[in-house]
Amino acid sequence: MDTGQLLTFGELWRSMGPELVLGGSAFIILIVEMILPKGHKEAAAWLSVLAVLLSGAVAVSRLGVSVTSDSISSYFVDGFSGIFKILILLATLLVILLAISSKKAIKLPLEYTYLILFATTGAMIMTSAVDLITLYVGLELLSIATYVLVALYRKDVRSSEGGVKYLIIGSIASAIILYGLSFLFGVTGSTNFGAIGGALQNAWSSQTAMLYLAMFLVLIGVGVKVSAAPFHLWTADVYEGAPTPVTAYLAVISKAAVLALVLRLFIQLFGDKAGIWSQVVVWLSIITMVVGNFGALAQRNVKRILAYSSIGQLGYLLIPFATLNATATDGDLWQSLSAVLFYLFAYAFMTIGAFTVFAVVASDQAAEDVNAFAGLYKRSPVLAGAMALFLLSLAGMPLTGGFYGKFMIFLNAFNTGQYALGVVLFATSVVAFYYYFGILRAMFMREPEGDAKHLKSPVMTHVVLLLTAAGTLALGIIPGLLMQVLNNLHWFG
Amino acid sequence: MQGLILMTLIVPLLAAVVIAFIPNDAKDMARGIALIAALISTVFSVITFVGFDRASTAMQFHTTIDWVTIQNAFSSLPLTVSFAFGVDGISLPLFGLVGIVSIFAVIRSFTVTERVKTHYFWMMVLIASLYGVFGANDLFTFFFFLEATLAASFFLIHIFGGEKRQYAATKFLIYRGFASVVLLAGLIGLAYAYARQAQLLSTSVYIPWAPQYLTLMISHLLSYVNGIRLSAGTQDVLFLVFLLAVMIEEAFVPFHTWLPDTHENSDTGTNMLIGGVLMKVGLYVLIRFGVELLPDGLRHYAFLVALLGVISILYGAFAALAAKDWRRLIAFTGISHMGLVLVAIASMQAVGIQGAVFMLVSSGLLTALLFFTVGAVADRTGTFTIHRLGGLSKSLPVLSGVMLVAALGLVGLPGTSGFISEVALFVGSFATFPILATIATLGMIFAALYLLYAMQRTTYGPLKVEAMEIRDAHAIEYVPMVVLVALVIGIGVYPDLLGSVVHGAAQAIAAKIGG
Repeated sequence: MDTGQLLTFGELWRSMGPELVLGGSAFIILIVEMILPKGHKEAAAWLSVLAVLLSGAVAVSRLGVSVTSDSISSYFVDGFSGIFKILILLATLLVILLAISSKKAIKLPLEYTYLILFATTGAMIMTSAVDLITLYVGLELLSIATYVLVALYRKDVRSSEGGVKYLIIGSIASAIILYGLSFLFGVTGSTNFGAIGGALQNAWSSQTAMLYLAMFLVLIGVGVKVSAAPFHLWTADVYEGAPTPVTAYLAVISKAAVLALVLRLFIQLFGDKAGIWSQVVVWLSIITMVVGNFGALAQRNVKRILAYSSIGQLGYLLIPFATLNATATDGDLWQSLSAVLFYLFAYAFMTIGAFTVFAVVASDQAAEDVNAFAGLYKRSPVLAGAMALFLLSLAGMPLTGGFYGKFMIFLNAFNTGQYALGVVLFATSVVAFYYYFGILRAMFMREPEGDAKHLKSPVMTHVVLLLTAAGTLALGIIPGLLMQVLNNLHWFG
Repeated sequence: MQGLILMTLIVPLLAAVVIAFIPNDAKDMARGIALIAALISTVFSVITFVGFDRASTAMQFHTTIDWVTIQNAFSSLPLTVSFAFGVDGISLPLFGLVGIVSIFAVIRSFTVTERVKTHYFWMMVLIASLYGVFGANDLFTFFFFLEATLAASFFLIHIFGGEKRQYAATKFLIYRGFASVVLLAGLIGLAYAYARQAQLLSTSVYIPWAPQYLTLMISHLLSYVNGIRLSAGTQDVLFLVFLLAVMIEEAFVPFHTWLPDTHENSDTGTNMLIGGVLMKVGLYVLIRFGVELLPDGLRHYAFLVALLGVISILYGAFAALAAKDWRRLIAFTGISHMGLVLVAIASMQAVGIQGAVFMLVSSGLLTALLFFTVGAVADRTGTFTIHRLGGLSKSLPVLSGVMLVAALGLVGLPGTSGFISEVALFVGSFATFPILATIATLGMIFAALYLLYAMQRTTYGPLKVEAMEIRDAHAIEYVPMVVLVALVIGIGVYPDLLGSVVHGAAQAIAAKIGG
């Protein structure tokens, strides 16, 4: 934990092991992908799967360690970062498998294999960074890699439009965050969380306005990045334009990483002013839940429905953040974080699962609207059944991960006296029922349009569906498995 | 005997799983599995009813399966969420009602010929979750099964309903979905409110499950009432939340429009379960949580509650008078009768609460019986429309006779369960709200009017429809009719059949709340 000395390789490995594995692999795959002969380029994708698994193994092995043993001054290895990294790697694995499974249908250029790894490395850095510079480097690594990923279909107008839109909006958001952080640096004279925390003790009273400005600029920038309403307007267009695996990546991993960043920043640095920002987050959460779920009602394109639904889901995820008000105890904090993490795991499984089914159906029908799902039950009972499970979980039906996750968030809201948040959570879920059931209805109650030939889906698709469905169900039926891990976690050391 | 309730609801769940895996065209196999499973459950529920210790007012037949622990759920103390089951004098009669109605709904559904497998799958899920709702001794368990009834009924209506089934199913889902959200807010709010209060008073009151204060166990919460009273303001807010949920669940005016649409567009088996059992959940909630746990809230709003009850009684009666379809008529009858229960609950008298439970059971049995006979008539005549029926007493004497018994039971003829229920309801209501109760009796007069008028048009006069298959009741149809009629008259003649279970519990509640 010394700042004065140079890092040894041992310290570097202990603190950044998973990131080094993943980042290093990304460079290797970048070269391998170029030199692989034409027919065998697919191997690069499997190499990236291997890289994620290796990195995941390292990350899991670090989960129990105490914060003092592996951390360095700008980079914490604690339970908080550990569990977020496992979530991010798991979701990345599923997204890469989704990309592999839909290679025929989607023809994603193989650049994605290493771009995703770079993005994920950035995402992991964001969960651990306790230095403003490191943190920003992580954010930009994630952002820049995803700008390219969104626009990976160069010839598709919508993909290019989405890419440009995401580049512009994302850059502005990054700039706003950076602007906010610069005020923080200006007031405290340091980029390190430890030093900033010390300086803030006095600065809150002397530089109040400046610090509030910093706080809210960061919050707005983050709001754009995670597509919280009213900063969500780019979301549906970008999600629609991006290749489906990339959409899943944006919806799950980007959001999780930015949430990790904002949670650590606000809890560790702005904890004293929780009474102020939590009130803003309460409203952010309510508006996001309402806008996301009502916005989905007006959509016909399933990808856009899922985009709006992911906005609504983000609103739910903001609730535990919003309940960290001035009176929150340590116990409340751990409970909030457990609720966020549990819901993120459930959200990752059900969202990636839903996008997997969507990818198959959309390419088969060459259409993305609800009609493409008409009579899916007759054409492919497996796909229809899996989609039903994911949608029911997103809607929060019992026995699914989505239900238990919402229940945790709900308890969290009531425990801290934020009754309105809990009520809005479930009231907007009723609205969500409506549009999820629209898709269910099309799948089960309508006849297929045109010829009802059996829809063949690749084996890898079934693997992804099996993993995501098993995860969704396991979290709903035996949530104790994950709860056990979360309960025993030393969040911040 | 401990696991009896759990076994009762696991059997249909297992049956649902088995049914999901049998071949699509094995219709008789699906029917057979469903019938056997429902029968076993019914036997279990009857054993529960008989084996219940009538001298005790506590929750009996406890089973608790811990599910997951949430660290720091309240005041940095953990909460164990569990599936807990148990029945007392209030929930047992309704638990038994599920047992009686469910088996007959399964028998009735033999007439379903398309997608039989899917039908019985959802019906088994619905039956299991109805057992779960009334057998729950835990707020989470209760809510879990209530949500499951929502999904199961939705699919039953949506796939097997009539002409406007999509519309009806969606409406059902939105109304009841919203109600369950409000209810969840109320339930969890209640648990936290009691936890806060218990923590405040922890030095002066003994809490058996300390050091935890937050509990979702219903029997725990009920025992809180003895020492811990929530502040009047908290009770008021929570009570209004519960009242809103109950108003929607029970389709009280002005949230009534979904019920007639649901009944009109569902198949008869589903209607028996929805009208006979599911429609009793809301008032069960009000007795359980409103009266027992929020007595000051109820007392504060008693007049409002009674007034809302009277409005539903009268509205339901007038709408039933104007109904052209038997199923809509039964729906409005239900709304009207449930309004009576609302007035009785607001009276906060022991006899009123006893009458309320009686009426829930009686109306459940009679509604199921009426749906059954009306459905049987419609099988033969092809219509539910009242003015297209006529003269059935000649061609279908048995069915017409049973239909008449059901109608008379609903009207409250002495000797039927309806009579004893209404007497108790009115004795309770008059003691507290003489004027409102007088107006409420109008509802009973109207009930006689609209039910007997509809009966008269259906069974007397010239035979109007060309009956497709004009054969009176089959052997298999006799079983449900005979058993249901026997129960209706049995309770009417010997009320202690039910009273021995309910009486103690109602007295205990009244003593607790000082009514």
